[in-house]
Amino acid sequence: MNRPHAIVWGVLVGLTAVSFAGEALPSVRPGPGVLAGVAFVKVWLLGFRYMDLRHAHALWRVAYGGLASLVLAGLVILGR
Amino acid sequence: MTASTSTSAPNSGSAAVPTGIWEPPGGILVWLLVLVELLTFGMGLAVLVVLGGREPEVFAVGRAGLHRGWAFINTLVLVTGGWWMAEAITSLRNGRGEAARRGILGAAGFGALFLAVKGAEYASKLSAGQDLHRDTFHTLYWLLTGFHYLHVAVAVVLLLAVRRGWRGCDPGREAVENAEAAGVFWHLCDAIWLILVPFLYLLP
Repeated sequence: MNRPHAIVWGVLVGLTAVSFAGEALPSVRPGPGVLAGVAFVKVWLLGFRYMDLRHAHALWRVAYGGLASLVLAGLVILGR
Repeated sequence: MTASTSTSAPNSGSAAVPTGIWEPPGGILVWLLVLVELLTFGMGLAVLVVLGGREPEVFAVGRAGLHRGWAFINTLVLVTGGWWMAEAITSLRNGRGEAARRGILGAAGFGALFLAVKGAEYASKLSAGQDLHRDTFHTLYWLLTGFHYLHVAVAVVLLLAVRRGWRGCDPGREAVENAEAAGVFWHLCDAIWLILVPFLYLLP
């Protein structure tokens, strides 16, 4: 078992649980924003952690980083 | 999806990661697919938000009628499937073919579980009369989640097909690249679901 993968999985599961716990934890008011953050982390992981784009040509790193940032911006704009 | 390996091996695995501009991991086609899919679902969500602003009552009632428990379970299922996929690709790059085969089978299994849980949710919605034509919210719900459902189904088939592509401990460069492409597609399905869920299930 790859330890970083296990840690990432634990973090994603934890944040997912928090984001769905809105009714159980009204004082914390978690919810869509947290899961939108999870989505951004997942898109980032997809490219730079799981698929090794961090070792790919610089143009790919810049392009994918831009795309991931666009996803985050879109989530923030649409979620407001 | 194969490409020549004219490049260095920056990771610790036995398979080199191509660094040429036309050789991203998994091949260029699958990354173009990632771009197109994210833009497509992004536009779908933009439509959802715009129409939700025009018919807030319809969307509030529609969201309240969705079962968050199903979505929570399916999110955990996909995230866990993504973990198995990540393990599979790492094993493959390190030349551990059998471990990679197990990982791919695990990811495909969680994909199948997602389809089953989502199928149960669809059945409950249909039995409650909440079909595609009920209102604007449900039209978008069925279109977005149905399109994603098809993606997961394709991903499961793709993973099983890739898994059949090699036996033993030495999958070879082509098998690694095919598995990487399938892995990108799998993680894309995972990511799209995580993008859809807040807008469909969690927005107040």
